[in-house]
Amino acid sequence: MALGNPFQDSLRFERRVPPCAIVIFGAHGDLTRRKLMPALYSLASERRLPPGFALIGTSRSPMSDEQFRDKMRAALTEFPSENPLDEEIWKSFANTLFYVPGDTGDPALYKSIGEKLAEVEKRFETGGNVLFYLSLQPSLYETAAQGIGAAGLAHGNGWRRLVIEKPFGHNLATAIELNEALGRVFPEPSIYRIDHYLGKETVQNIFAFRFANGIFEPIWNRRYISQVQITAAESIGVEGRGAYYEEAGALRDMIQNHLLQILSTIGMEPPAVYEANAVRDERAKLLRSVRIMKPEDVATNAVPGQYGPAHIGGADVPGYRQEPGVKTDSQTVTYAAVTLYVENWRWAGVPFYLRTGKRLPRQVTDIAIHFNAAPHAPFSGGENGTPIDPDLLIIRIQPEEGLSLRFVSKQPGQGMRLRPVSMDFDYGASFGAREPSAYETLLLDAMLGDSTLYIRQDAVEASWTIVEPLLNSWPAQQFEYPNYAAGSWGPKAADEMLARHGHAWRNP
Amino acid sequence: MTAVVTPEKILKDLHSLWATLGKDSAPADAHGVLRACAMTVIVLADDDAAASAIPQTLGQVMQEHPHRAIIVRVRAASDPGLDCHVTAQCWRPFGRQQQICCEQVEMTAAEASLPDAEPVLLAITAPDLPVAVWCRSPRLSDLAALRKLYARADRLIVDSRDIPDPRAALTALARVAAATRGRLSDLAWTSLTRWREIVAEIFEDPARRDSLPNLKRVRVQHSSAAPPATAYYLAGWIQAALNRPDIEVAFEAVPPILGGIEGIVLEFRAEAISIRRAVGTAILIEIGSLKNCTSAPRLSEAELLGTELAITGRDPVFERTLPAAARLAEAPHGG
Repeated sequence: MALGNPFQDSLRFERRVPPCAIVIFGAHGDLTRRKLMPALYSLASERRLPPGFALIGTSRSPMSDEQFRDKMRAALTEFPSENPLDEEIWKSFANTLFYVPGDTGDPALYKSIGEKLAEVEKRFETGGNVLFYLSLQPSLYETAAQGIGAAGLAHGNGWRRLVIEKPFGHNLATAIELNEALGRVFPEPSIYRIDHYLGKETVQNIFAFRFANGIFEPIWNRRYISQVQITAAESIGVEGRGAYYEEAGALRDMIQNHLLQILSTIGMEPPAVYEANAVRDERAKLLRSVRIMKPEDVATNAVPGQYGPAHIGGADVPGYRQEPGVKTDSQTVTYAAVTLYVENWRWAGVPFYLRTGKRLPRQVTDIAIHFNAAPHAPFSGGENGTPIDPDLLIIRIQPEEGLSLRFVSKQPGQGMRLRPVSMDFDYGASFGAREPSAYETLLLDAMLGDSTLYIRQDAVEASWTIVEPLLNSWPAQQFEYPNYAAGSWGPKAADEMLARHGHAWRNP
Repeated sequence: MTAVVTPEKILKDLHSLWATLGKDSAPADAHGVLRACAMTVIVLADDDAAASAIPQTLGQVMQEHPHRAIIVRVRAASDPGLDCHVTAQCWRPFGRQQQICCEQVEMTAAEASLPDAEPVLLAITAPDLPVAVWCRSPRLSDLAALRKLYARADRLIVDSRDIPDPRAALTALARVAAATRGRLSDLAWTSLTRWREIVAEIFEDPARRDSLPNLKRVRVQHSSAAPPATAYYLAGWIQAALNRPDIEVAFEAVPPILGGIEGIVLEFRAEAISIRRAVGTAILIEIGSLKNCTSAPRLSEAELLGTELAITGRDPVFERTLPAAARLAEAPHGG
């Protein structure tokens, strides 16, 4: 019996992936072409995939292996990986790609997948390890999982894991139902729920920033922080996904998952060790500490919005209701802002403002930590006697990942004139190395069996519990939409929500 | 006649340099200049034509590891003079308005005056930050006149990739490594990381690891007429990793594809694993009927140096490998 790998060099080598096969359901879909294939090709070209590797794609479209390879190559041309296409590497990678056509509801599909898995296990020495990736409509998750289970594919010579994409249910009840269905086939530790925000380098860097530096933790609490703003703004509209968005809306699409995961990372207690369950315990604990809004609090602590048409940069931009696939009287929210409170000793009384929206002025995701003002300022004020702005820490998730600390400095010259200055850390400028995409990181972690950056079911349920009051309240009302113009920072009511606390949105 | 070089004067010159940079940038650029320094890198180089490329290499490394650079060109001349001037390397990251600058001190010293130079060098390292000493010639890593500097270094970096006599160099390095207690790095070793990763990856499979006791011979293929230091390192690494000095080692000169190491073949009782350059940066791995292709571009000097500067602690694998490589180089089959 062999012990550990004697050639390992943890100081210099990247983490090694065990031999395995990946089965992608929905291999002809958008996510596979845009994200999964470029990420897998990048991993292949950077030698991160093991020599014993194979990928089996499946979808309803009839195709041969060769046609599937051609389509995946075309996808890499259309959505290039950061590593340029190299003929030799592609040739080698393409040889590991296979295709099995079939309907997700048809047991024959799983029989064919089983046969192909047995073939690649022998040919590529994958050790029987299989990662099932459901890049499907969420309504098919249960069917696919049942098919995998009924065909006996959830168990084999090696490990078997299941990766699913958000949304994990449509509300708390359906999230629990889905989990029960998946749980009948895969145990919880084998279920990997992707939130690609958690795979972003800067989100991971929040851990390093908070827990590897001694100077921030002492001030990371209600005594020094007055408010936290989390913004995820998109400048684009629904981009042809009107039908999907009509069902999802901003709450389900962004707040319930991405923004609450960021909130939990910013607010969580330090884990004892950087290991999957220790980290996920703390995240879930934070989410369970969020105060659940009473129905009567929804109007004052949350603002829905929907964008209207505008003329931007010399072009007409349609309103949401003019988008293809959208009802002309749609009540779907394309903007949501909420005020949340975390009820624990660290954060009691500190408002966390979360907002997200489509057709906002620019694409940006960042976190603004507003510190309390100095208890007493002996100076008359800033330039022209204006009040001095409190210190501000900005954590930029995208684009231009990095950190900025704004503080006050004396202007050179006579007298004590003050003005804010910014100290910047730019992730890209400070580290020359290419940052892996979120999907590269997450796919690699799933193959390695590291679920730290994946969401556990208890966190999913806690997140749904937080947004449920809004999901119950908003559809029961008729809002006068549109209530913000495309290209603006959202409805006026969102500004008023903060103004009631004496705060204002910081526009990134 | 050269001027007297004192730490105070160099530090004063550095201060003036920053004042000038700030002043020059102010009228046109309200964002000013950002002074960046995370360590001191002292480069010891023979005063030859190759040394002129050092500022360029350091300029590339600075963007990932901002540092105070001190370049010492060692002249063989008997004139015991020292000469020094300060300058800055600046760059503006893409899309950014603020310029980032690092300090650079360039010193010329006759070998005879190195005892005078050493206290100056020690005094002008950036306080409270790590110090790396990069000896571009292995002989400069073992000079009696610089003992205190070597002792102060958190990393002592050499490069034995292209030295004509790797046998003598590896023997000398093994001695230096013992004296520096794990702080020695060799860019020749750094350049092998991708090759080693590929080998390690193959043996991630526990079933394949079971076959390691049957490894009989390692053939290292190289492009030069005689085996370079990297070839000894690669073979020595396998012997040391398996604690099996009995594994037979052969070195084979093959036609160059990218230069340097061109392949490695692991011969077992019943099969062989071949890892070799196919074309360009592509590497072909053959394990029986299983074939796989991967990429391993040749890293530049700046990339290799950057990798070493990122390592702050000991490198136990290198520490185990160096004596094995030196033994192989000294053995009769080593050439």
